Amino acid sequence: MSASIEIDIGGTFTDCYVRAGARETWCKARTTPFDLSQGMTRAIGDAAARLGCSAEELLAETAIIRYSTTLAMNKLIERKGPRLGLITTEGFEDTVLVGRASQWSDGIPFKEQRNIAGADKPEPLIPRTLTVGVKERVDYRGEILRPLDESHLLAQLDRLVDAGVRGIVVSLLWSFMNPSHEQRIRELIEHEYNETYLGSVPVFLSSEVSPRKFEYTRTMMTILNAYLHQSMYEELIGIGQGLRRGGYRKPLMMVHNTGGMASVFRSAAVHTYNGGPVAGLIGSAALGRSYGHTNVVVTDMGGTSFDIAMVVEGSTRFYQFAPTIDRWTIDATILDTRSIGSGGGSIASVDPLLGNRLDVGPESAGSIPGPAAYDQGGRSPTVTDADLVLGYLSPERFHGGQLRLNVRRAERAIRDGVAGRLGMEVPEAALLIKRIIDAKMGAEIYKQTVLKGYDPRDFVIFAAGGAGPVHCCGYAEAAGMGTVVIFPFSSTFCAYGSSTMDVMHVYERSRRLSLLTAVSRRWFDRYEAFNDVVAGLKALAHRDFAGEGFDPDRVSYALELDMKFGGQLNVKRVASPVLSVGSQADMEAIYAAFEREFSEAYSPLGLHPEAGVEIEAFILKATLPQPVAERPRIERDGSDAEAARSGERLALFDAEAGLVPTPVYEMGSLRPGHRFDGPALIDSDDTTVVVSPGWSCAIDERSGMVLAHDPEASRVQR
Amino acid sequence: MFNAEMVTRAMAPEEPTEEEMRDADALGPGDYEIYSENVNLMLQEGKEVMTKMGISSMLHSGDTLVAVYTARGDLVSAVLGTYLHSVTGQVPIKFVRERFADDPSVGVSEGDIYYCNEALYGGIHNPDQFAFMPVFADGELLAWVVSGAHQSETGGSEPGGEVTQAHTRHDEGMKLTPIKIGERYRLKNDLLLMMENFISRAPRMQVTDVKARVAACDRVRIRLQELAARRGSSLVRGLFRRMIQQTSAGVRARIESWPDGVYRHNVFMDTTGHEDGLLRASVAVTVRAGRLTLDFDGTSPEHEGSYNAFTNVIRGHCAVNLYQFPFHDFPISSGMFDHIDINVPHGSFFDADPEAAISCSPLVGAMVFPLLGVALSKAMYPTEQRDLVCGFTASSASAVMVAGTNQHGVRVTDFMGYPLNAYGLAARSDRDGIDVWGFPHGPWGKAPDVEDIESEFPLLHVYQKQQRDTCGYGRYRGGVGAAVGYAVYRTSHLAFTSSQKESRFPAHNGLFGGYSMTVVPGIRVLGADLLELMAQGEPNLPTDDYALAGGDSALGGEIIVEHQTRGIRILREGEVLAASTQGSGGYGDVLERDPEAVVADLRADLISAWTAREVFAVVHDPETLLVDEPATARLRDEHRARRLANARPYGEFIEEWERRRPPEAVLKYFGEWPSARPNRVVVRI
Repeated sequence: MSASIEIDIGGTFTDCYVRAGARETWCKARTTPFDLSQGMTRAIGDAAARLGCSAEELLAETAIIRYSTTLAMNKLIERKGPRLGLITTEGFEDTVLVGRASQWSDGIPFKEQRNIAGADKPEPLIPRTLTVGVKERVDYRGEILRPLDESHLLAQLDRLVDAGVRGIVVSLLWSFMNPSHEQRIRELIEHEYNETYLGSVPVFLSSEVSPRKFEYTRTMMTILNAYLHQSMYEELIGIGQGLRRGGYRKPLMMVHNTGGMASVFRSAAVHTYNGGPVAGLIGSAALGRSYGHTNVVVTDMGGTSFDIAMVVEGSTRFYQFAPTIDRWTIDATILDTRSIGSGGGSIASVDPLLGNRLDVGPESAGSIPGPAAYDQGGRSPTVTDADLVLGYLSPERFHGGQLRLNVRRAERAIRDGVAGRLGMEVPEAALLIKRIIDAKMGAEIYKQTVLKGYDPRDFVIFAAGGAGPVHCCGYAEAAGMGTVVIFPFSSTFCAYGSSTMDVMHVYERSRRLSLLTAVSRRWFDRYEAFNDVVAGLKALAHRDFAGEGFDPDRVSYALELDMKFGGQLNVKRVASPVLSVGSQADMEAIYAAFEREFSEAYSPLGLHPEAGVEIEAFILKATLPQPVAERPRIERDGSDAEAARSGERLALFDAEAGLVPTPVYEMGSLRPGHRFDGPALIDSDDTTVVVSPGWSCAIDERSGMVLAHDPEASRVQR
Repeated sequence: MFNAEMVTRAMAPEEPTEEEMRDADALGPGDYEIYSENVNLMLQEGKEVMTKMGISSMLHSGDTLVAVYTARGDLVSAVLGTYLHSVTGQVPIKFVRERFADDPSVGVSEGDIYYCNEALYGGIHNPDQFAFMPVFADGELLAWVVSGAHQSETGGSEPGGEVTQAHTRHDEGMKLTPIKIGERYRLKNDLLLMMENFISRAPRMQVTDVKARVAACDRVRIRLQELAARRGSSLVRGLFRRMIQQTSAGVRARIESWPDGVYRHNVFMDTTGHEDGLLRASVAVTVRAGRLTLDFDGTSPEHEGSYNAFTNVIRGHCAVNLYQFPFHDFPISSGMFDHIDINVPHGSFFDADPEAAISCSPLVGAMVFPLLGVALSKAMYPTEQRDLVCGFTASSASAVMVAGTNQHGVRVTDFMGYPLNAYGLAARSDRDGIDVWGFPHGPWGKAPDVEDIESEFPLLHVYQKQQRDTCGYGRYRGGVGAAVGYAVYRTSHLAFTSSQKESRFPAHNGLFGGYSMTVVPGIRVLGADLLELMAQGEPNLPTDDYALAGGDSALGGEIIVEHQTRGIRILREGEVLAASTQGSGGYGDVLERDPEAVVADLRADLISAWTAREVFAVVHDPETLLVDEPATARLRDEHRARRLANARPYGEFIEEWERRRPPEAVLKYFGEWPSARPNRVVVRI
């Protein structure tokens, strides 16, 4: 038996998915923030028990452990990073504090952005008093205009060390074009405070962490990396020790937000941010392939947010535009996963100033106090309260029976907060809350799909998260989509996703090349300039794969280019048809790819090659494919699901029809081949699937629940 | 021909039709909540398309709009970078409906694409260009979509679109009245060529950005038609009406909750664009029985300079204040104006003759920001909206423009986006303002990076940072502005112009005893060679405006300190020009500021030691920057005693105050003193 273990450590739960030969299992354990290895060990132990072995036996058979975490984000929110100093070009010490001026609006919803009087910039990770300028200057071509004043630098360095910094970030203007001043500063720091001294501090160079144009985002990337580095390092040491105690000696890989993974010791901290949702996206692409679905919208509805991502024509190659980590905009290749404030804890409120408009979210009751039904002091009506009142959730089965829901409190919260104010009955108000939150999520799916140039009707939805299966029929209908697939491991979907990931490193470098000039209309012909950039990135890949113990010659490469028409403000990421260039035909092929992707994303109306065409950056993806095990298939077992039926509950789907007895099925008892029509409910320890009227449910050979919408049936039943 | 009455009328909502009211009443539970969100997402999609396709730096700086209007031209909702155009966007639509809908030579048909940039027909100034399209469903006109963005070149007598030396409209370049530039969803290339011909300094920007605007409109048009096909035109019509009604009802309820009263404020402008001089802008905000009246009577008369505006410009700027502060939590629809009356006296520099030069009108309109910032704060202070009390910003709100041939051989003309987006926000009632906060007209815009500008323009930044001592002081201080120094680099020469103001007299007066912010001069250093000094490793180069203007560095050369309003200035390679921005006003008494907050500002280089001691009366150790609390208490007592010694009975003070009069030399354009009524004839040829 060769096994793989996938771990996704969240703020509340540590999810675990294990493949052992042809078998699979999954489970959840409470996260232990004081020592993450404890929760992880418990999860692995539980999974082993489900497979009928001990944790040690499982670890002995395990070839790889892959790991994603949201803890990087938590460290930021808690501001528990080390005291850092920043060295930058003299005269530009406030770049991060200014934050392109409207930094106060980054990372908050538009509703909050509109409240100018309530705005504030975030507390900086490095205060102004720990930021120093040095006398040096490089220009846009990488030419040194002002040599580094080393004696001035040493004086500034003493200031920082005297102030007690425990790490130094160096980010100079245009350092990605010429890093010599940054490198010299590191040499001088290491010389002055070498490793034998107590004053020794790690040094982070922007030209190494993020060799991209734009000093604000490059500096922020470097600061965030430095800020997270130390605490994550300590955490990883703990996890590694925990695994070694259990007898594990193989690699520990970390999921990256770029869509790949790498050894923990070859991972930059900033690339681990948002790893879980990205793993879910990659897993969806793999599942889509096995199902023959090349177009998938992956949805994950949890307690506070609704995350979506897209697989298009089998590819996950969409990236976040101006991604934000906490309150800071960065410039990094992060796969595009969107999040809006819609979850089980989203609060429903009536605004009397807007004619009793009912809003649901983005404010959330969170997990503490949580929805009113949790009986933890929450009084605001939430989506979970509505789902309970509508009969969709079983008060006894929530979180595997660990949290008994209080129906009366939920009813009271909806009566006081919504129904009373709108002059409605409580069930009617609950149905309205559900309709509005479903519509909001559906509209977001619709927008993200069409904005990328696609028709949502050509996609299927994969629904995950605790609340996703409850609401998926609703948001699918709102987006005009007719097929939803729910997997039995949907509550540990992100952990499953990492089992499908390849070892991949992404290397980026800003380099401006005029593919087609505006004035002379000439194609770029300095081919070596193009090829040198790619060769430099390949050399980095070679170094990293060899360092991880892989054969660099087995690595495959894909090149992407950030391109724009002359003068445009924004670039479009384009898959380059060639890795190296040597003729005008190569240039024309690159342009053709750019024109096609630009037209699809925006409009052919915007094509304007007369203005010139520029390459702004090179992005090289180096991949070592990993075997992806097919999920086990089970023979179909007839279509009658009666044996899986555990009873019925009163549930509301139509205000006029009122509560109707609705069949309830036990998820664990459903077998491939079973089929039934909605309305129906499927209970499990982790979630409830709501099969709405007009929808049917069929269990496929891999135990997936395939929900299909029949608009005609829906019309008749409503 | 232009009709001022029509423009004014067009900015107020139309009476709803019976059909609209019937459709609004027929909306089912949740329809309004669900589909209003859908409409907003459509607009977001449109704006994203425009921003990603366009060129003009203003697409980053936020002077943009994508909005939907009813079939009769009322604003339903907008996704925007500035509220300005949401209300002015109504005017060209209503004009086309009145003048062209039944004109067989023009008409309004499915697939039409209209365009305009003439301020007389509702815009702010001619750099603001708009595409607009009718949306038909089942052969019936259902809605209009507008998308627009500022473009910093208009083919005027100076580059950059804001022509500081213009005397009349005839100096200001292309001004298109509403014109049909496409039919059957296809742009007409002959008209695009005409525009390129007008905008020959930046033809690439013109054509690309026209296409970006049209693509945005068209995307929203498609989505609206899809919604109408799915849910019926009557749902869309009813939804639009409900969205307007909800804003209207909410705004009325909020105004009704405020105590009745009249709240006044005055601010001053220090130039006509051609000459230094003192001009006054006045407002009286009346709250009475659920209505808000904004009366700008008492504003100085129009003049021959370039800093004039039209009534629609002032109304648009009022919308910025109103949507950003008291009504920020309501949907952006024309319903707000159901309860607001605005009087802009014709003949004042707020509403000049149609022949006047107005391409710099945002500079004039921005006088409204501190005017209403302070007056509305006074009105809201005793209400539940005290947390919205904020004096807003200074009124300069512009930046230098550069024009020339860049290092890649391409002719370029554009605003410098960093200073444009780098004004301070005024102090609030419970905390400081925000340092280098943003662009007052479009606060969410982004200031570009040094590396962004230096790769496209032949410039080398000498410094770019927060500027010490530029905020207004008070119990809570205003945000500081930014200092930016540019050297010309890799071109023999480069032209700069600037339509900023407030170099002689600050327009923001602070709130409830807070100080004004400082004024900002225009600084140039000619005959210097920064590049040579850099190459030599000279350690003492200027790192802020103080060092540049004070000659404290080794830069040398001739230092010129002048008003920020500057016509064309040509600089050679290695010479330096500063283009800095104002902070904003303070709140409350400086002697009430926490001494620890004062030294924290000192440590962060936001104020000087002189300011800490002389303004805030905080005694501190110059080395450790620790507060000497007993000495501070004594010094503050001395300050209070001096104030008491200067005090006199109110009647005595007024008698002396009213005898005072500014020097005659600065009153040339003020109007009669003190009423500001017109006292001279303005001749334009």
